[in-house]
Amino acid sequence: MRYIIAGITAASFMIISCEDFSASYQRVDAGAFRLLNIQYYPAEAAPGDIVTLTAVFAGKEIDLEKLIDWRVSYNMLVDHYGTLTAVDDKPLEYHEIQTSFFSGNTQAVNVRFKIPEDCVRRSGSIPNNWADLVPSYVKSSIPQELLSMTKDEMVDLIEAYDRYLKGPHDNFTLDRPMSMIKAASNEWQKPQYSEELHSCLNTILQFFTVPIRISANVKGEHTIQSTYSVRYNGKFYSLDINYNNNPDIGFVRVYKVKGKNQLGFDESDPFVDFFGYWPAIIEVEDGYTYIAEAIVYANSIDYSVTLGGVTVEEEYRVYWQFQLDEDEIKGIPYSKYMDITSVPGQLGAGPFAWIIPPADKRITKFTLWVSVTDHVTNERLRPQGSALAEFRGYFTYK
Amino acid sequence: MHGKVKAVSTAASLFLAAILFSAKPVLSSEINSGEDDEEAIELVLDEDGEEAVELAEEIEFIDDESGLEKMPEILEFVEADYPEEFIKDGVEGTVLLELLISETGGVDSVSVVHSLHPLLDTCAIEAVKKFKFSPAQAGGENVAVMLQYEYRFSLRDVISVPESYVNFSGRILERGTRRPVGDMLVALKFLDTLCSGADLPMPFSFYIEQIGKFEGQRLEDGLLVTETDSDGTFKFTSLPACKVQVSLVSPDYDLFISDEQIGKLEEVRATYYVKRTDYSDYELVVYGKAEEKEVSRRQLSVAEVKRIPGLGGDAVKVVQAMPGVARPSVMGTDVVVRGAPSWDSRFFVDGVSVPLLYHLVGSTSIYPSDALETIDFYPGGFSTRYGGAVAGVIEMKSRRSKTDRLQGYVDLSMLDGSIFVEGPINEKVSFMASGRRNFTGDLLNLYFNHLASGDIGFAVAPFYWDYLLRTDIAIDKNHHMFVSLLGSRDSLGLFINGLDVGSSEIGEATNSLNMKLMFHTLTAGLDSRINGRWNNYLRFSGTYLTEGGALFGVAKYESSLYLSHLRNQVSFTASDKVTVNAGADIELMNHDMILIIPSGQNLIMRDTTDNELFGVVGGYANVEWKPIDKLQLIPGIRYDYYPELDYKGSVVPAFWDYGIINNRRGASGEPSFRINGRYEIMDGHVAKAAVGSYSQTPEPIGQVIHPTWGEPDLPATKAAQYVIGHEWRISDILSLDAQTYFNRQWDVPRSFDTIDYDPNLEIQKLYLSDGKRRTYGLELMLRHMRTEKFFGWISYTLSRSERWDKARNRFVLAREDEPHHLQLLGSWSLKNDLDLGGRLRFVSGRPTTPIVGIVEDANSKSIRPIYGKPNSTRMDPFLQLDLRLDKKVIYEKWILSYYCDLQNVLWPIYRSPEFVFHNYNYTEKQTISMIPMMSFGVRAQF
Repeated sequence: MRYIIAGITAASFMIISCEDFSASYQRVDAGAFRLLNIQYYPAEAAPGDIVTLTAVFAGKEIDLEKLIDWRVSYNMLVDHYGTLTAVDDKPLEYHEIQTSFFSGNTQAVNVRFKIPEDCVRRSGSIPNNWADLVPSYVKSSIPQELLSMTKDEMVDLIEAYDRYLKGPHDNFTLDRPMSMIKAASNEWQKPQYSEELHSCLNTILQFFTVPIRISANVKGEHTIQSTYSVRYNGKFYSLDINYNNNPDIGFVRVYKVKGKNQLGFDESDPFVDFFGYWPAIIEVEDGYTYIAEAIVYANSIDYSVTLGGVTVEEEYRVYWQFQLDEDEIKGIPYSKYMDITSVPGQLGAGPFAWIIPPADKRITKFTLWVSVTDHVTNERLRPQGSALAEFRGYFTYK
Repeated sequence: MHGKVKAVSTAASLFLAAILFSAKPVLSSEINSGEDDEEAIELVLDEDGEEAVELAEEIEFIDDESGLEKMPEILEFVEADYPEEFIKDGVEGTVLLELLISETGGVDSVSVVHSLHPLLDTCAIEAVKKFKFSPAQAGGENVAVMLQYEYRFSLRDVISVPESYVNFSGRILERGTRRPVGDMLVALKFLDTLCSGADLPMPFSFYIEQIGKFEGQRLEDGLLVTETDSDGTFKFTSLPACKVQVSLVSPDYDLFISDEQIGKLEEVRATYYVKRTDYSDYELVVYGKAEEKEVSRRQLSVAEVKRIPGLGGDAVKVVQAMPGVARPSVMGTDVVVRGAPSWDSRFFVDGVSVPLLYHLVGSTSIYPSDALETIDFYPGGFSTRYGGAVAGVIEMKSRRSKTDRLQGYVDLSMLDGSIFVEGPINEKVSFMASGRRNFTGDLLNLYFNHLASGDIGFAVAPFYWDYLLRTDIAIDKNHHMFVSLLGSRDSLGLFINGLDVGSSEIGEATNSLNMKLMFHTLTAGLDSRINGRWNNYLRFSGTYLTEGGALFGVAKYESSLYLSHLRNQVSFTASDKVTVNAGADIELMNHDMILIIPSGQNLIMRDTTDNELFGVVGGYANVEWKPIDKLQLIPGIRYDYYPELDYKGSVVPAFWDYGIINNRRGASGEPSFRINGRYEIMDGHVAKAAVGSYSQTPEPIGQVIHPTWGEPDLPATKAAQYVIGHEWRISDILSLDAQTYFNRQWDVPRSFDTIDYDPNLEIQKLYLSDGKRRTYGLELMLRHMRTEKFFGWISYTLSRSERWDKARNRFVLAREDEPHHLQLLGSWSLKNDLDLGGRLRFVSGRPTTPIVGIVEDANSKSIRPIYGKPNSTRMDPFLQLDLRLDKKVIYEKWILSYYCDLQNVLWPIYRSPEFVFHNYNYTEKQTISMIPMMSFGVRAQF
């Protein structure tokens, strides 16, 4: 651990000569096949649910239906070090696949498929003694009775609880903690002990979350992998259990801040908003810094109760990409192109970015894509929600 | 003074003599003492210096003719006055008198025949008149006679030995170091030969001659000389009061000349500072055949290593310049010995572990280099003295604090400042103290908080400080003891305004990075010699270490440990052919830790370990045996128990994984058997070989056996090493060492890979113990020992390092593989106290794994490479020239030295690759090289 910190610090201060590359992640070139985002709807799914995957691409156009080989692994292992092992890997059986429309500058494809009913039960990522997955500081919040149950028994319990809540009430075949639910089953009231089960349900369901992997082998290009999580949370939505939705990107605001290489802006600084497809204009002037901020609608913000019992607001990671007009950039070296970089000190995919205007005034048009993924620390294998928004703009030069 | 009777040669005198004399003349007072008259006769010189006729002949003649039966004899001698002024002026000589001696023996008359000086004549006359003679006899009756008598005024008879008193003393110290200079010749030349102001009771030359006989000084070629004692002290006795020229002469020092005025009554005291002809740190150069016992040991003196360019004078890092050690990563402190990872080797100071060898930032070793005596580097094949390592051992030996005088230095470099002091407390006790503080953090703090934007700032600097306190006690000639306290603190803080990374469940400070580490180690040692055959070497250290850190809100840890290490070795010399050594090597570490970090499942893991015990509990014995004079064999056995492990250890020493017999039936430890031998083929040529089994706890220590992050039942890693070599002592200062080696390791932990998936396991293992490594190679070292003007070496290693690739079911190159490694290194002592050092390195490029494709991860918006055959390609080779210039300015009582170290001088011509950066989709790459780096420092040594 100490060497990780020291290494990060040392790397920060190394004096090493470095030059820019011609190709960059942020810039989508016409000849490159680029993935902008993969979004799942719903953002999280339970066994048996139908999921629609939407993949959006930019750059080089290809035949999305014919050239993409979709594969899936429903049995994924992931260890503490994040090592992913796909135990099975097979063609994705989908209900439907069709190209879709996202914007005029992009290609999109929707893939609709069903999560197997036994996805969680058959996943090798949950051992038979499921309590082995539970850290000691979490165990105290789970009744011992449940911890001593096997994986299958727990899955049965969860699925039975789901059925119970949906009604009508079956004859339960499980004896033990089902008494928690059964106690009130005959009275058509909420189970006497459901409070106890409910209080730990959020925690328990995290250990019955399994990763699956969708991969897209794009012929002639490269492979794209996406990890999705399947859990039962959606079935208990009414019980105020953690549930993740895809974020909703509202708009992008670009501040014009006086001074070069400014790290922040003031609310009084002039700005321009990028909404939807209406292009916005950035006035380029020497001696100014252009800071972009991605705004996510507040009503799309989800809250989660972590394994530590803390209720937290989900965090967002923002990724910026752009494309320039092919005709405008002809003959202009890439070093004079526009660029977008993360604001220094932000450490990674934060909501702010520097928009570095082109050094050549012939470049005016640009398309901007913002993709956002959500994240909560200490919510095990939380399904990731994502969103993509496209904006257009122009540079004018003073 | 004495008188001499002389027989006159004139006719009249003869006549008188014939009449009056019949006895032989009295020649000197010595004659009166009864010597034979004939023997006592002296040849008499007349005024012209010609030999006069022997009186005896005349007397016989006279006797024959005159019948003088008896000559007068002096009965009472009276000394004449010798006036002081004549003595001072050095006037001496003979007055020739003619005496008339009466029948009664009295002197009736005296006349001067040959004058010396009127005053002296008078003094002589006055004295002679008082002489009493026995009367002459002739014919049986007393008769008066006339005779000549020489009265000699002799300075030697009257000059007394001057009073002895020291009136000129002093001390001679070496310029700069203030070290006393012993056995230096101190010569006085008297500039004023008359010494008119001296007021001497005798002539100057006589005086000097007299004092030249005093003890402790002597006269040589007109100069009064003496030598200094071991304390640099000299003294002169009874010098005349005059001006002298003092010359200090010694072959090791420049000639020193100074004038002094010696006073009449006061003592002159002086202190002189003489300049050495050469100010090399390594004063004592000992050559010759030191008895070597180990096969692979390479020893370096600290004075040598501080001159090597590119290492910042760091004695610990110097092992990187030795054959068998791979080039470290940039700013790295890893020590890859014979292709094995850094954690396969161990570092010791005086036989006991140090918890941390380097500061975390700055790559400076914690133990001050100036407190070290030697560094023993064992790239392999080491004896049973060491355990818990499967690759190499580096043992640093601390030196005793100096006892001659208080001395030390203050040092300032680009990274840190330090102070070092040592000296005697009393006859038996001496001390050493050092302290160092880094101030890079202060500079960065200044930059970020005042010069750059205030949104990024640094917390409290410094990055580190360290200290060493030591006391040496010479109990008696057979026992020596020391106690030392070593401590260090590393700290770092970085905050970024407005940043919020990670989770508050991990740490509240989600906008900052901080880290601190502190330890204190107390070490005690006792060396004993018992009745000439038994020796005991005891070392004990106790360490308390705390550390903690937080990486924004992403990870957090705190830990503390108590480490104790006991090493005791008893040696018994049974005969000149057999010595038996037995020892205990017990290292135990009690560890508490809290680690909060999200796992790969996005789950915050809070791992707490309480009182977890780690260590190596070892016992060993070996025999140094010389069956014949030219052959030395050292077989030894050792057992290492690892308290943190829980597995079935070997019963017999394992040189490979024995399939036939079930060797895994023992406790959680490993026995070892090692033997090394040296055979002197002929004078200057030694063949050597070593075979041994080794073991260590699986690495990285703690992590791979952790209940959450590892597999608790992993076994110890084992190794077998085979070494064959040859030493050729070409001359006293030139030697060549060649070694070939083959090392195997097995039960090496490796992390889980997808190929390891076992459907029968509910939970897949995080680590497996089926890793294997093998390394082999050839090492050559041509070494020029340190002389006054030069030291250096050429080292070359040809090697291969491989690891077992389970997926491919074969050995593949390991990332530590480095086929060629050539180093040319030298340091020259030039004129004017300049030292120039150079180090040229050529190293094969690091192995790389080609990228054959990419996979785009939609979740992290990143692209990761698909790798081809592991380590099947290589970066361009590494070529670097480093230079170092040291300059000393010698002042009277201190020395100012400064150095400039320039690394990577060849950068304009060739840029050695250090890293490869790829663009986002691995379609482009850039090779990054280190730019030239300059560092400099200043030291004031007193």
